[in-house]
Amino acid sequence: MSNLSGTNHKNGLRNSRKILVVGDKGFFAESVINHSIHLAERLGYDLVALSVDVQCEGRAFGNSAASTRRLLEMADRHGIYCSQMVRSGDIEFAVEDTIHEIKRVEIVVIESETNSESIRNISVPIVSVLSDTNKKGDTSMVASKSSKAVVIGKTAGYGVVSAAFCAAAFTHADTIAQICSRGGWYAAVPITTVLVFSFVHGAFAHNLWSALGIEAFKRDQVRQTEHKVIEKRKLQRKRPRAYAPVNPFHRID
Amino acid sequence: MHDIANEAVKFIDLNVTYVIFLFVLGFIGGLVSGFIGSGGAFVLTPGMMSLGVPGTIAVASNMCHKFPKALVGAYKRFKYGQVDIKLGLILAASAGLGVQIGIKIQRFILEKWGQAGSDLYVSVSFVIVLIVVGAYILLDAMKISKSGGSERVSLIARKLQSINLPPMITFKTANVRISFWFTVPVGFATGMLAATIAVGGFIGVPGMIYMLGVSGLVSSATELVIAFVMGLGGSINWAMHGMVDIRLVLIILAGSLLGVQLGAIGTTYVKEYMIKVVMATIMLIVAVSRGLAIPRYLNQLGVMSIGQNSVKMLDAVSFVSMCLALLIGAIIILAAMYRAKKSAYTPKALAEAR
Repeated sequence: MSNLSGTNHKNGLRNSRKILVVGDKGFFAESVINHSIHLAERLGYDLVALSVDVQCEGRAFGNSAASTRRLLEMADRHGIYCSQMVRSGDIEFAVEDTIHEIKRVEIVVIESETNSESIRNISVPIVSVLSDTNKKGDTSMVASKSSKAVVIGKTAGYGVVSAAFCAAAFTHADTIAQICSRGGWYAAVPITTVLVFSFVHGAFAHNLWSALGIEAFKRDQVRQTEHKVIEKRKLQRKRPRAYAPVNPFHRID
Repeated sequence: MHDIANEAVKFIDLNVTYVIFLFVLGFIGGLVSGFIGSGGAFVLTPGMMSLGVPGTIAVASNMCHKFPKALVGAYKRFKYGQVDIKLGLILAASAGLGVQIGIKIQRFILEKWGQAGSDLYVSVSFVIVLIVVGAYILLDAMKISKSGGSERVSLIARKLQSINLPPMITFKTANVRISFWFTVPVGFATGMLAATIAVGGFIGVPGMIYMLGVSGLVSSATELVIAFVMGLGGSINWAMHGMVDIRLVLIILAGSLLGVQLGAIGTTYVKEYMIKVVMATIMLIVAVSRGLAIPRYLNQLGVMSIGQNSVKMLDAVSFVSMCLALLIGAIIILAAMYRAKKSAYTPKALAEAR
């Protein structure tokens, strides 16, 4: 174990099959780390953590170093050999260069939120891991706790307004009934009331389900990625191959 | 106009039981609506009437809750990329025409054969449409689930799409290119059925799937756009007649806005053919429910004679089975969501796995 932790931080690469874990902007999401470790354990491959960063300074660096360290620690704990590389520039070129340099990369693992369509064109199968992070990729525990608090706050806020609305409508039921029953231009009263209530109560309902953890399942990104990988494989298969017919009866003296 | 209002304005007194009943009914109706694009409305009107709400006020209040619910549902499913707005608006235009013709036919039958005749017409329409369409959808859904879960465009739709009859329209989200003229009957039938049995989606959604070749997911989402447009138009009409009881609308909305969002979320968890399964199940049970109400109208018209007690019993069974249809639909949706959520891959925290 200690040997592994010693070589983890050097760029020592073994001649075994590898999974390339790509950290866009140098950051590795929790879901990406988990998935890579699971895959590597199951397949018996090594891991290579590739940090692709345009600038290695400022706040971004702090977060990315922490997440890289986490990936290395996790790999070490699970007995997986993990090495680390840093590249800068376009993510697609960085990944392709790395694949050609280190050889035997079988799978590339990236986060589904990675902001690059062109990465889907690389020559190795991609596993796109769904993340439940926001677009900025900020998955720190503090951030997720505070966003949960915001959702609960919004639920409570909209809930109070919605309840107040209903209370007002019921305590003044007679007046409202009179206005609604007048018809004509007074039609605007029930229509507007209903629309305003729908906005408030709709927002409350949305935040309530989010607060309870019931949210939409984002499977379209995975489906798109799978589709592109399959299409790419089909194209690769169609490429003409060199064919050298061998005559088994030809004698070579 | 105002005579009807003065006569029928008996807004009922509400107590806690009524409020809870309407809230729960609204929630389940919203859940089904968010999932299959329609439904719930046909239970709410009789549901309100069973509490003593006069018929016209029940219909008006129902319609006034339908359009904001459809708006919220459509918005949510639009964010999931399931709504084809262009298709929805084009179908809504011909649906508007269908509603007007449907209302005229209703009025004609009412004048010729009275209330019983009108109710009989409505019930027979229910039974025929729901059994034929419901059975077809169920068989299709069973075929898809046996063949491994991938929807295929129907033969009719493929034939219609290949006919080049200008103007040809491309619907991007629905991924369909078809002549405008083939969308007209689908929209028209939706409007007519909405005017007759208050649920246009039971023709609209299958029409989009089997005639236009749109997927189950996109058609149920797009139906909400049609429901919004029709509901808004109808609500303004009823509100101008002073028929809307805002308290009933708010209670039902409180439940249905919760339900419609949950139903919309549910569509992202389940396989696409589940929408067909839920729709077909509800349609077939409601067909039975409405079928049980037919003897009462035949009795009133003098075509057959049955005892008063039997009529009462049939009415009760009819109403209960209608509520049951919604409840079963809701249970199927929630069970499917629960199963899908459980089996979705979530990486375990690695620290615990060690």
